[in-house]
Amino acid sequence: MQARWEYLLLPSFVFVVLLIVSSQYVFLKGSFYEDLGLGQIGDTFDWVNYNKFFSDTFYLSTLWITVKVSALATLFTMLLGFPVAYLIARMRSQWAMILLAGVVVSTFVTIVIKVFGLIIIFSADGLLNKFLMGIGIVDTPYTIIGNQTGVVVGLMHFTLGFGVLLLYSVIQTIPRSLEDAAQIHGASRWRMHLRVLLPLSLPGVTVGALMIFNMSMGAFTSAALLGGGRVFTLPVLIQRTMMMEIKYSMAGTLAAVLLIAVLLINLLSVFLLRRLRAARLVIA
Amino acid sequence: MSRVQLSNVVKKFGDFTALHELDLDIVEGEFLTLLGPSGCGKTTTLRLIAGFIQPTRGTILLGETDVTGVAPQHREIGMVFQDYALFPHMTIEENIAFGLKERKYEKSKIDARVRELLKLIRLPDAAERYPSEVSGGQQQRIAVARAVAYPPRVLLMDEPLGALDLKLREAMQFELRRIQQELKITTVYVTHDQTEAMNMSDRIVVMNHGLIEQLGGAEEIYNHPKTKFVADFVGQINLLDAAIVGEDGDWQVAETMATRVKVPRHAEVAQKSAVAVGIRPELLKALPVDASVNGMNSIPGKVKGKTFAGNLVKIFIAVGGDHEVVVEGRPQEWFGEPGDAVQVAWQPQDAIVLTS
Repeated sequence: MQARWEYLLLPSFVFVVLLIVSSQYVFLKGSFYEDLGLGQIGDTFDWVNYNKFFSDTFYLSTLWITVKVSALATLFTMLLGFPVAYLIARMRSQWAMILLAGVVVSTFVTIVIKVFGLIIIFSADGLLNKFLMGIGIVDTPYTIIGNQTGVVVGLMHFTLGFGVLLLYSVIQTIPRSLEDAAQIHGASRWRMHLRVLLPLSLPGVTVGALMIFNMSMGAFTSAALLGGGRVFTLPVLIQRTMMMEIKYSMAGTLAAVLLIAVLLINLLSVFLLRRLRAARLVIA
Repeated sequence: MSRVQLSNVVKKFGDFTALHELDLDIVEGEFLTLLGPSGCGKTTTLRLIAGFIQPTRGTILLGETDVTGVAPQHREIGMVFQDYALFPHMTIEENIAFGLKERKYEKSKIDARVRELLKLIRLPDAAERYPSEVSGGQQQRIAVARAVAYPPRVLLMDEPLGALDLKLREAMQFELRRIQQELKITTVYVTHDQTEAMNMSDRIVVMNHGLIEQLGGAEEIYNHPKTKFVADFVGQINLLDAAIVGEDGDWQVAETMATRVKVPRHAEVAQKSAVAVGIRPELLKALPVDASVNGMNSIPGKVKGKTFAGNLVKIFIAVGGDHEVVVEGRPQEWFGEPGDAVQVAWQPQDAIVLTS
């Protein structure tokens, strides 16, 4: 009889069901019962929490801010990460591996440490402001702590290493000879990027951007620390709603909205990519 | 008039010198092949002409223009790559039109030129398809069409047939040569395959360790190699260590494997010089020990082994103890059997005296 290797999957399956699916289920189910505050929930199934969410401009603006800072962080991470990934991918010397190792290591340094570094540099009485005021460029300190710019920077700090790694692996799959061919047949470096590298890396870049976006949408630590209690993204608000306001089912609703928003945006992107692929603007 | 001229070109990569003081004149309209083993500098030379890398010293002229330091896209060169490097997201038509579009040709002109090129490469109906939808040999021809579209001042080819199987490779050799002659385009071709080089080229540059060993036509290089390296790399050759010991009329006398043989007179070689005597396998004969040799040179040997390749037989004979020579002939000839004592014989004029 053939060995049933698939049974080996069973422990991980049980693990996932118990810890992830069941906890999500509790939250999603809870989101359909009215929140009575102080950890109390109603006993009839209805949409009241969702009605509250979609009729309250504070909640809606939180969703909008979350999407906005995540999209901006994704955009800038990709813009900043692409040249770095490109250079490392095209480097012939052993420096490429050293640089890549640097990216990996800095990616896995816990975000708390990294964000506190940012705070020390960028806060109102931080190093940067002391320097700028010292040489007389600014009179009043400018800070990114506690505003959306800060949250975008924090999210970028969180995702940039992943972005570089993802883009690196995408660019590596594009043969260098294609760049040579474009150049020798008359394309400047800029035109080569536009006509060859970009269309060929677009599917990989889209997938990478989605991953960065998803990470940003769910990021709590960097958003909470750099938001300084003044910028509310959904993860920050969920934590606050649950731990400080003790509104469990409202927190469940917020989590459900976040989950659905992320799903919808991902599905839409995949759909758009399919359309591009069908039009042969990018390769499969 | 020379189309491409490299003068005193040196290329170093860190401490490694890939090219030493290279001088090369490529004539208008010729098919020139850079031939040599990997690491000999042939691809470096090609990439220098293309402009992908810059020489450490020296100048490169295209026609009358000094292009040293000029970026590849401004050199008006076409190139065929080893992996073809066709753009997978563009149709065959768009691939061929790539250089024309970069040069901002009018749409109608581009269309006409692409149609003409598709006809030239015998793929008139492939315009709308993608590179992944055609065979390797067809991709190869598309890469050639893209490279000759504008048309370029020089066509460079970097081992373009390396990825094809033997039969297709032979067919493509003639196809490339046909296209080159039809367009009368100056071509620099890089290969490590001597048969390919000899089949296609007007002239061959044999390179080794970043130096030109010899430059000439296929016959000249095969029949009159200047160095042991060329003799050995282009075709197969038996090299016997020898010393010049005297003269015999029009011949010089050399001693090899304890036997005196007559060799063609070599202008630069004085008596007692250590030389190598080279004889191609097809010019050697294996004869029974008691056969008369009629003025041929002969040295005694012992048959070691034999291989049969259909149209020819190769026989391996140990001479002077354990030095092995290869004799090549028709299957119907006499060769002896493994273990037999034989004479290895050749006409004196068929040997080549090599000093380096």
